[in-house]
Amino acid sequence: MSAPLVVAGWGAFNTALLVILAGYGGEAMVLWLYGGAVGLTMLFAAGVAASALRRPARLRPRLLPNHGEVGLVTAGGLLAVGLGLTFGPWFYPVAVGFLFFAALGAFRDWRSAG
Amino acid sequence: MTALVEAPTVVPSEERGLAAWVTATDHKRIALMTLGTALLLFLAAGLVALVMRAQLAQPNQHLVPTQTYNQLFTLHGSVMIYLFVTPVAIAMGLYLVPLQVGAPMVAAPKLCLASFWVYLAGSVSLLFSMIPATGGASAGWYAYTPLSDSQYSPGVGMDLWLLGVFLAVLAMMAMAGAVLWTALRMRAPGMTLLRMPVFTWSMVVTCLMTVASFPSLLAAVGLVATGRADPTLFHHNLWDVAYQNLFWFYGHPVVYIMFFPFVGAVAEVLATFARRRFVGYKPTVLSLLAFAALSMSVWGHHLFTTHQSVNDYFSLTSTLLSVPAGLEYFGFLATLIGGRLSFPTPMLFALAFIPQFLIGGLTGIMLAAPTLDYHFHGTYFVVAHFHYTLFAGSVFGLLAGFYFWFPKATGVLLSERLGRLHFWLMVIGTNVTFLPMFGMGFLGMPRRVASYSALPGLGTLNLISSCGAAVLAISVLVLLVNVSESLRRRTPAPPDPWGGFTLEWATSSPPPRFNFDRSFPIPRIRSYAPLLDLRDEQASASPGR
Repeated sequence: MSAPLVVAGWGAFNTALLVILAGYGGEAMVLWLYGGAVGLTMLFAAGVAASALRRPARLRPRLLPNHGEVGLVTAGGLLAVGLGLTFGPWFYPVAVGFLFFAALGAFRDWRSAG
Repeated sequence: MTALVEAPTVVPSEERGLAAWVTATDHKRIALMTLGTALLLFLAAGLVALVMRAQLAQPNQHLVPTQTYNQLFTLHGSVMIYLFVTPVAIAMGLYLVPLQVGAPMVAAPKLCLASFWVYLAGSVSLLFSMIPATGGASAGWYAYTPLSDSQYSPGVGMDLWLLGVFLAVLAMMAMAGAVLWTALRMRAPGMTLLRMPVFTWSMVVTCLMTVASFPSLLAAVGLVATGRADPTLFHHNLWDVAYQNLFWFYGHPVVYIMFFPFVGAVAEVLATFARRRFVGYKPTVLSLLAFAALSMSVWGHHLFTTHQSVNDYFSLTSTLLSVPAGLEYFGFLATLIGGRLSFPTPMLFALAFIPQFLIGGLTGIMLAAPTLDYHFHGTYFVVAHFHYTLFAGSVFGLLAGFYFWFPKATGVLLSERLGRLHFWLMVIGTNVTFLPMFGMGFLGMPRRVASYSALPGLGTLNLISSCGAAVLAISVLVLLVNVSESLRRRTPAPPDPWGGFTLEWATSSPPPRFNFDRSFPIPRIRSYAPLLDLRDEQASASPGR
């Protein structure tokens, strides 16, 4: 039993259930909905498989920073985008500010890790 | 194939203080922050439930206006589903999965931290959705259209609710993806897939379902928000049914997402306090995978009464769920039979989970039959059913896990005396609150009504239910006293206070930054109960002892 097989097998089981639903005369919209989820699962399985092929044994030891301020700033940016949709566009400059600093932080972390 | 992420060569020291916590990339800290937030929100939603039960204690009562009552049940359902049980289920996995598979950290720790903050932002938005003077959200936790559109739910309350749900669900999806990747790709050497503990397997299926089903709700919520911005966009006859499909494609799997982790927790607790390996490990793993796949294909049973779903198919798949569920129950019972049982608080909650969830499950099978569903749809019978699955089932499983792993996470033992008091009050309160609701539903009482007529029997059943809710509130107070007193007294917990079987019990309480270190190395892994193997090895090496 391997990790990609578990995910793909689970997706295949869902595919079988989807086919049966089609046999029962499920509407196209419903089949697309279920099919989309199955597709997403298979995509995840492919990602796991690719990861297993790329790094078969061990990852290089690396230093993980104790802090991740970027996460907090990103959340602030997403909230500001949502509030902009709700209350009006004056929230968008705030969102852009938050997301700019989040991107800057992510870039800094990436450089220091690399 | 097992991939290993080694602990960093330079290990930063454990940092204290608020700033260190809120920006922590340690999966344990992120999980504890998520759990703490969710538990606070649980208390808030519980208080809302008390107000609702006070309103319904007698017929024709008007403690709160009808519109306020609509907001209250919307807030109660939304907080419990989106902000409490789902985040707790995922956060338990975030805390425990890396420990149980011997990983030094979670995959994508910064993404997990961002997820916590996005979840918190979503929670704040959802809570604030009740405040606007133009009218708070009041369309129920599933916000059906056209009730949730700009014509019937005007004002920013509904917009804030949609934003809150979107952010919270997005955050949990990202967190679940990281937990899944950790279990699949970051296991320690020797930890094959079929040596992962039952709890970790329960998280694998939970996260698979999360990744596959949550995008559907994100789409649904996004489309409702778009439709509110431009009401001419959607043709209602088609859109309303499409929304129901999109919603329940998320809404039914999420019931199992809020259930499987606690099945896993109960399995670990039962095995530990029966002093034997979990019986039927492989059938249980297979049944979890089958259960999860089947539960992706049952959403249409929520649409039976619309005549817009394939009733035969969805009735069949919904009824079939009883097969893998039955297998899991056989595993529970077989583990107990012949075990050397002891009954500390976690075991009491795990034992109560078994019959209580059974009531929820069996009544679910009843509702899987369209003929019965036509009768019970939209009544208190359904309310009783899902409270038996989610409260009498999932919350009892959660509390079994809470009492079991609290010493591991905090390094502090809880009081057994208060734990037992909490348990008995909770069992009484739960059953007195929710059992009469089956009767109310049978008598035809519709759900989501702010008041009801003095028909024979309804008043008495509602009064009993409200008294039960008061007992439940007292039981939660006992839990809070237990936690605060235990944290104040700080009776230290050893690394393995219960004689556990899985890897998290091999490390210190609480675990170090990267879970295992020189003082607490990962033991040799030969099965899904490595610490039991170690004990058996030691016992056979010194048979005289």
